[in-house]
Amino acid sequence: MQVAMSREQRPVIGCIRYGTGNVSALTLATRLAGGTLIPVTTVADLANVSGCLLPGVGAFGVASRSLHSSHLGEAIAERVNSDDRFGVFGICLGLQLLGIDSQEGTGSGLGLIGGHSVSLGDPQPRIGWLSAHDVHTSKTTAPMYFCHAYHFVADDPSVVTQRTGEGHVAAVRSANVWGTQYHPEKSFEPGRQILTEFVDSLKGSAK
Amino acid sequence: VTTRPFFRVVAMLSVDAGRLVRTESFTPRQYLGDPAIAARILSDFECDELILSDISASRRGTPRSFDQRCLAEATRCPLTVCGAVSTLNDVESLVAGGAERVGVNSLLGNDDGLQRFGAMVGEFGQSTMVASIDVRWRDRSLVAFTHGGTREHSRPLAELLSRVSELGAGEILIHDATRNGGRQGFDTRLLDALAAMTSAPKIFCGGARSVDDLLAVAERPGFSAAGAASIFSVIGPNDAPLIRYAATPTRQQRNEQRAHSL
Repeated sequence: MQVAMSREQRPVIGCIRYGTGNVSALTLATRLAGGTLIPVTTVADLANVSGCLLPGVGAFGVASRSLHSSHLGEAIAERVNSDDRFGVFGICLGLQLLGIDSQEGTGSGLGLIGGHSVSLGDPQPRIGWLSAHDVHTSKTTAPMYFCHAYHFVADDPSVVTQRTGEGHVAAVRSANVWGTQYHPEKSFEPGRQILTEFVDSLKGSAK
Repeated sequence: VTTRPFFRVVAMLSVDAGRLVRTESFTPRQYLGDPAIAARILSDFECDELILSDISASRRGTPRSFDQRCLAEATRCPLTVCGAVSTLNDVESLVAGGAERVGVNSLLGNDDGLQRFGAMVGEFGQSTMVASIDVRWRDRSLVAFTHGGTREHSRPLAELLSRVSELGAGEILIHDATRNGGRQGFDTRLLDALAAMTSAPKIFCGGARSVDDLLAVAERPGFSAAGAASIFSVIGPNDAPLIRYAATPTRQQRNEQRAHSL
């Protein structure tokens, strides 16, 4: 499949709409990371993008229903599985939607990464700046902005790339599937770095 | 390894009919300039969080007066937006505009509105919805207000606080309406009373003289953030407008300090 690039060789990335999501923040953050973000509301829109963002902010059940009724959920999963150059990046709720399901609501996620989201419990929710650590190097990350009441538990721990101090998932990566529990678009330069890596991964695949 | 997010120092911007203003006791006292430029400056300072409030909309029954340009600048940093939020559509459009959190004040004024707040939590998630409540002392007890501190609530404050927690408020933003804009320091008696009333995570504001006042709130249980407007927007004896994130230690510095103290 043709990789969608804008004229300035900026990968065109789809912002998956499911009735919520901080779109304008993501549009700006994607531009700063070297890409161009366009809205994706139908399955047909997916043909025009070389990757997509699953935005955060919202509740699992509501987002899941919307993803399934628009058939975008299965279309994204199919595209990611059949085209290893197509990247998907889930942010916060978007990361949780990459998994199987969530205690937050009924409905299923995309099943791109095996795992389930569960309540943080008390004290809830977690809002604010927190450092994570890289599970491979043990290096501490810069403080990132978290805003969530549920967290993702991966079936296969090898997909987890960053964890918080209490061991919760902060970031995952499995081939072309990326996710962060924190909001990179709200985390200034350190957030821009990971978004830039994602955008560059789409660029690298351009022929 | 530290596990809790650290205490947030929140910059607050009040918009009255599209104009950035400084308020005292919730009344506009000084015109400061263009809220979009202020939001840009505060995000350039990489502030922990910005709370952008339209203070005129619900009192006058007019639409929110900050525009997309203002939201677009504010959206670079963690952003909570408040002002005449009464429907699910209001929340959706503010979130789409770049806010990851939305504050509700006037809607909490009656039981029907409280129910609608609960529906917003169901639709947008607990971490998205902030309950904003204004408080004043009357004799020796605390009274809850809505509509930017102008309308007294029929329920006792303690009951309202527990009600919004039950409904799933992610955090409760509490304004000391009396000290708002006064810069005489936080009312510690009020902080004690609030801590005794609810253990729900709270953002406190109203009366800060300095960033140290804000950081001191971190020592108290149940407060996840403190906010200020005047100390981040005016300077000197004549209150000259100057938007800044005055002398706040960087997150990296605070992170290291905390790591040392553990």
